[in-house]
Amino acid sequence: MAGLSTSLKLIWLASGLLQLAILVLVVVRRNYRALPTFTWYIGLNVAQALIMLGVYSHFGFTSATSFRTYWAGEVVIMILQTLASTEALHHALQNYPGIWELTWRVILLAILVVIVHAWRTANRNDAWGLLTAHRGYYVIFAVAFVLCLLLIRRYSVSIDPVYKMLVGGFCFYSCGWIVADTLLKLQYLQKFPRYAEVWNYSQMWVFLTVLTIWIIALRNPVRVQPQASSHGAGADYELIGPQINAQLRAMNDSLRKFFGKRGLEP
Amino acid sequence: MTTPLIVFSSVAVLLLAALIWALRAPSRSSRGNFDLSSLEQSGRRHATYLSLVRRATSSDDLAFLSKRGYTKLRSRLQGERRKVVLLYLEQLRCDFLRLTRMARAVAALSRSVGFSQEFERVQLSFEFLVRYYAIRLAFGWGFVPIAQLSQISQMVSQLSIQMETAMREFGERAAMAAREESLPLDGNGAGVA
Repeated sequence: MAGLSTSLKLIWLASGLLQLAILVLVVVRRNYRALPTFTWYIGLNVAQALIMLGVYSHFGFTSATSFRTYWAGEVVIMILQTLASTEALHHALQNYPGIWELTWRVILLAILVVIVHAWRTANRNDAWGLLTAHRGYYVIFAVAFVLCLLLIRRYSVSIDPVYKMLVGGFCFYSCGWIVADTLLKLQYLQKFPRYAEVWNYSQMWVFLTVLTIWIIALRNPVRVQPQASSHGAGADYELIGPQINAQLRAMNDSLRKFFGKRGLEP
Repeated sequence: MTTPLIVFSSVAVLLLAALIWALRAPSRSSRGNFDLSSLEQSGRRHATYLSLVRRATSSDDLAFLSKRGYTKLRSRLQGERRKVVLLYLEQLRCDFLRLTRMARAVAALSRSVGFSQEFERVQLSFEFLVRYYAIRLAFGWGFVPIAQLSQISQMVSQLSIQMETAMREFGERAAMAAREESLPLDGNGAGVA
């Protein structure tokens, strides 16, 4: 573990413990049934930390092998992050199929943008290509999922706070990465000696905050809402439909009468 | 070299602000919690004052006062009528907001939502607000924005038509679902007509 400061090792250990705590909570509260991809995400994060511990101990913190191993694992984690967030939103919106339809289109569009961005970055033969693609992913992820949450708010859809905290945590984590990646490049180019450590610190602190939020969110079992039947939606409609139609007709009539005959004068 | 840092940090801060706003609990749930009585009152108020607003736009009285030489009274009347039109405009805005709120509620309850239709509604809302404030400003400066007012009324009508179509489709689907549920089931779980 040469090249890693003691405080960074401690933060790393703390994040590992918090992730294990989440795994325990997920198993004890049986949340893995409602959130299987999220469980995989946390599990693979712990596995990645253990693998990297071995790799850093054997090859050193700044070796090429450590670099390749870290980034290979990071791609899997990033894919799982997208799937876990989508899963949480899907569960949250299962009684609102129309809103879910809008939401998954936003996510799909974001995935396509990430693929195109990664493809273009890979073909540019840029020394900073990997970092640019990494930051690009987090920018697009945060934009897409914040948009999804804004959509939910726009339609006044009331969702379980657990899902809000899970997706909100991922978005907050992504915002942390955006700043950390930008700082890394800047500090490297300005020849700041401890640029790698600053990068690790900044993203680890954000991750610790997110893990704490998730522990608070998952301390109770996640409620899986039964899917509402179409009959319920019909009952709502039967109640409000005629009243809205009467309102609209009255308004249309009045506007037609008013604007059809004459214009305004001062 | 600090420009990217400023740009990306600003992006992150904006995203965080939007995230916090989005995560705040909505004031009321859309599902099964519509304030129908307020909708009814709002519509009635609008209809009640319509004849008054129509009168306020008439040029006959102003022409009569000008002919008789009551210029002061004419300008006073003109000012008062402008206020009435502004009130009407405000009412129109309330109607528009109420309609968009209802459209969102219908979308939230609906099984399928058209992306283009929703996007169009966002666009309409934006246009409406821009025109509304432009007209208010024009009235404040003493201009006569007849064309803009007509455009705004068209927008409200357009939205009303959209809403009616959506409600009709929604009703047909609800009726179909109720019919399917009332059918007896055969041994394979299929409905027997």
